[in-house]
Amino acid sequence: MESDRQDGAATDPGAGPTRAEQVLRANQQLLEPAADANPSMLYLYSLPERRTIYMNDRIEALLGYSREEIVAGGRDFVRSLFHPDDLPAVRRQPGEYQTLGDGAVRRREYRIKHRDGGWRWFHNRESVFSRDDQGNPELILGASEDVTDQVEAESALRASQRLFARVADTVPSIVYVYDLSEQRCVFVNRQLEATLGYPIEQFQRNPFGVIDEFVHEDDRQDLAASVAGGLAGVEDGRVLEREFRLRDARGEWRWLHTRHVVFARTPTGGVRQILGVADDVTERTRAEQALSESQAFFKKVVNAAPIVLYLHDQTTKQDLFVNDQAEAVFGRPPEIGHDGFLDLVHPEDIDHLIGAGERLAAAAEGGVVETEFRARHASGEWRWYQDRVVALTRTADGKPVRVLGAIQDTTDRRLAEEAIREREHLLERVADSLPQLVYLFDLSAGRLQYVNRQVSKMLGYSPEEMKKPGDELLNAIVHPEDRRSVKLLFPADPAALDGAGAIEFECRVRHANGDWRWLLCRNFVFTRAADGSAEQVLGTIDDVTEHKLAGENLVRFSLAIESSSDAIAMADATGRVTYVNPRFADLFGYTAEDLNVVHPAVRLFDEETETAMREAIFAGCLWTREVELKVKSGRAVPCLLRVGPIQDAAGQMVGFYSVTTDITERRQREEQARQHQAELTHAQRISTLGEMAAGLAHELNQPLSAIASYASGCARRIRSGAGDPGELLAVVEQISEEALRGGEIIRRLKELVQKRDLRREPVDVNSLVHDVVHLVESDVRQGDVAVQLELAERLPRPGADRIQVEQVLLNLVRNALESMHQCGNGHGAGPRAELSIRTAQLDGDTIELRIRDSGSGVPEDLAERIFEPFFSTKAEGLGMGLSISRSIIEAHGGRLWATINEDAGTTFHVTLPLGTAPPREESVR
Amino acid sequence: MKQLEPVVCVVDDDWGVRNSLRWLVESEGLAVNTFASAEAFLDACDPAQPGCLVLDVKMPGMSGLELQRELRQRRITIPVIIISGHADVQVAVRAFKTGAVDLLEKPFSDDDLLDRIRLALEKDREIRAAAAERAAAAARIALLTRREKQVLGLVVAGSSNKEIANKLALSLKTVEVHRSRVMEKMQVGSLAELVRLVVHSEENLETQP
Repeated sequence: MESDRQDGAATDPGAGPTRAEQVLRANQQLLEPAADANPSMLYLYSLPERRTIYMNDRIEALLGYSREEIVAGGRDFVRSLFHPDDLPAVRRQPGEYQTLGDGAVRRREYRIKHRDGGWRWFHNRESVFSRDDQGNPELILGASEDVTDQVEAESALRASQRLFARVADTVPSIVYVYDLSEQRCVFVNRQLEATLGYPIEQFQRNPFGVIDEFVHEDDRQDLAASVAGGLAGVEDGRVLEREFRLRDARGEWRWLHTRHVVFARTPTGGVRQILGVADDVTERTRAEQALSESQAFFKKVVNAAPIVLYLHDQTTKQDLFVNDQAEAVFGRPPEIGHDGFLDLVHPEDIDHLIGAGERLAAAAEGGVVETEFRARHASGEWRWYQDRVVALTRTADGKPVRVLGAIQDTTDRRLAEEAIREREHLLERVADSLPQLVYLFDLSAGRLQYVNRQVSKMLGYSPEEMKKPGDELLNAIVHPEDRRSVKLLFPADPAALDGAGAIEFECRVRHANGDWRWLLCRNFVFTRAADGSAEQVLGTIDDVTEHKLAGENLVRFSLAIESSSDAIAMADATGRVTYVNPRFADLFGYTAEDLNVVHPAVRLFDEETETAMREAIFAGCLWTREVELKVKSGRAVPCLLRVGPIQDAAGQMVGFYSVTTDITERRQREEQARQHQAELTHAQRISTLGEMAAGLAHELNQPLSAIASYASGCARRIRSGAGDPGELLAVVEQISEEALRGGEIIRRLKELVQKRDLRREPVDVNSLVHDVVHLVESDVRQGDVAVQLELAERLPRPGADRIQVEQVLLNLVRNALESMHQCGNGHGAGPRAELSIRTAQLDGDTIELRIRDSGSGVPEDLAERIFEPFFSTKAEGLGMGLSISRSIIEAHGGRLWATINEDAGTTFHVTLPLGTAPPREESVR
Repeated sequence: MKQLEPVVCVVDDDWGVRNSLRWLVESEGLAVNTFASAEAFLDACDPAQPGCLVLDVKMPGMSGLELQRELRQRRITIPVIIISGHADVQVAVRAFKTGAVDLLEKPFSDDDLLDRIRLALEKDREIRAAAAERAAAAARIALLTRREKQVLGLVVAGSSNKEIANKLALSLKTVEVHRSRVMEKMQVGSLAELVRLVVHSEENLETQP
């Protein structure tokens, strides 16, 4: 089929026969039958007329349209049938056929739409059918053939080729197609580049042949033969494997394992292309080679080893392997794993050895079971062996099947170890018996290797606790200030240990109980490495804390003595003065040298004093006396002199010391105080009387007002005549009773006011207590105080001034009542105020009075100060009462002091001696 | 209301003083009760009993002054005569501050004491009468309605009837009726009487509607 687009003229039936028709007609007889039988669509096209002048019947079969329909449809219809993309190719160009020689063919391919709507590919061939007189082409013969199936098949093939390439690129192996005729790879996947480092193109476009260029010389022939000849007789699908070496891009030889199959054949059935899949097996190949080498080596080693090695199957009880050493050791054909082997084993160890089997069964995968046993050596002697067994394979339930064992002769080692243990044991015993702490420090391990038991006694730690790493130990127990110096030795600076001698240092170490102990450490090198550097340090430690403290104390003592306000001197046993402190020189004007000069002028003591002193000292006693000493200037100084012996540890007198206190000032103060006290005692008494007078006046008012009322009542009754004589009499008796009561109060007052000199007479202390209680009766009632008296029966009567002692007692009782009033015990709230007075005889010649109150009490630190003059805890007190009271009692040879009660309040104690001779005969007013 | 005989109560811890005082006071024909302590007196004290109290200042336990305080707290209005052994200014001031009528220093003359007792009993009577009147007035006021109390309040405050009517929004007549009823209930005949009664009652009457 064809179309004409140059002028669009169609066949005109009305025109006369053209020259083309004439040509056609001339050949028609010949042409038509052939044309109709041809499977292609045939047509004749007239170039001068530019129209198709003939077309065979095939068109209907090929396109579904009849010849008549095409002719009727005209040029436009024909054009519409062509695929738009193909129209330019279909169009005839002017002069297109001019160059077309006879026998030459013009080919085109285009798509035409079938009547059913589908596109059909056509292959069109045109050639010159006839020429005009000038030889120009006149008629063109065309043939169009339906090639749709062919085109689709080709496109499917291309798609599957792409798929193959993609698949091949994804597999890890090198995939290639080798063309035998071209001697190159027509396809290679990307893996080539990854594995060997060559770009794909290098294998595909190789003019010299891949094998010759890349394959190892030794492998070339084999490979070439295998790919060419080897596959020749092989059917499709059969795989031929080869290994060969190939040089990679870096020039190294790689082992490739390849599988070849026939990929394409020549028409004659010969092999044209081979598909190969190659893997790089270089590493595996090398490993296999190494393995076979090491196996050989291993076997040599195993047989040469000094230990017995065996591989035993426990299920079959067969030795799979036993090395040569077995025979040398046990002297018989090897049968290690057999029960028969037990004949060689020492009877005592048989059970132990059998037990190893059970332990192996229980052991973890890969666990080694060690057994020590004795067995008879080939030489006949008993030797120690160690068997180390490991299970190589196990049954599903874990029972060992194949076991590998190694038996070693440990006799010598055991002997050596035992010897070492014995030696160590001995050393430890020696070390433990030493009074010092002994240790062995391993410098390479950086920790104590050994420390004796003394450590727990000296520092309270167990030896194990001391074996922690040296740095840790240092920080845990060594004093921060000493760590640096200790660290110099352990182990930072072994150089310090280069000398041969011991290195000594002191440091503070914390005892387990938290105390710091001063330790003296002596270290020396115990062992050295081959290069002479220290390896182990042996050290001993002494606890020098006491020494240190003693030393420190000595410094403090001498400081104290140097700065003492007492004059202190020391002399040796011969009396030679060895030391005087600065105060001594100040006070006496003599230095130690002055005193050692024998000169009559230099004499501190008179002879009598010196003798007394000497006797006391030599008797080992401390001698104390107030004496007057003559100083260098000649003045006599009152001193308190204390002299004592200095003895050595054995009690032998090696010298003596003296402590002298200048008591000049104290003497003066005492004298003044004594004078003051005498004056104040009187003042106090007067003041006490004043206070008492007010109380007594109140007391006296009671009977007086009662008397007045009684009397008035009587008078009124008598005046009104209402008085019944009996009734009046009773009241008058009441009057006289009240009057007597008043008289009694007056009598007591008189007694108190009477001023007398100190007069000693036997005093009934109990009646004194009663009198005083009577005197304070109103205070007692007012304060709602419970008074309790515990008076000893048949109490001896001390010789004393009754009035003065009563005054003391009154003072104490009133203080007690006031203290209870102060703390508010007098009224309602809190426990009831209690005053208890006790008398008792103590140890034969002393009687004691105790006045105990439940009042506010005195603070403990004031218990003694309250006796000082002018010290008072009361707001309006003079602060003299207790001071005077004490001086009165002391004047009687007794004592007065206060103690703090456990619950509340204070107890005052008064003692009075029963003896007749008091030390001081003084009158205290 | 039945009039009880007054009783002189003597509180002193000293038996002689206590007993002699009884003897003296009884000579005047007065009833005497003696107590050894303030606590004993408080235990036996009957607020309805007329009388007076002779009290020693200084006693163990509760003192005289403390007893006075306690009486005030209990609203017992019994007149108190303090007797003291040595009366100082301080004690006197405190005694009078807590409502004592008199203070005597021991020993005292019989006339002094008896005069003071008589005065104290007189004062006690007056106090009790005033209290009785107050109670009666309060009782009468309690009988009034709320409106009557309002009227009363305004009357006492000095309002005229007209003013009251205006203030309470009542008619003059109604006010007059209320007023006469108030006079009737309060049992008084004159405005002056009414005012006195209300003032004595110490009632607080509302004057606002």
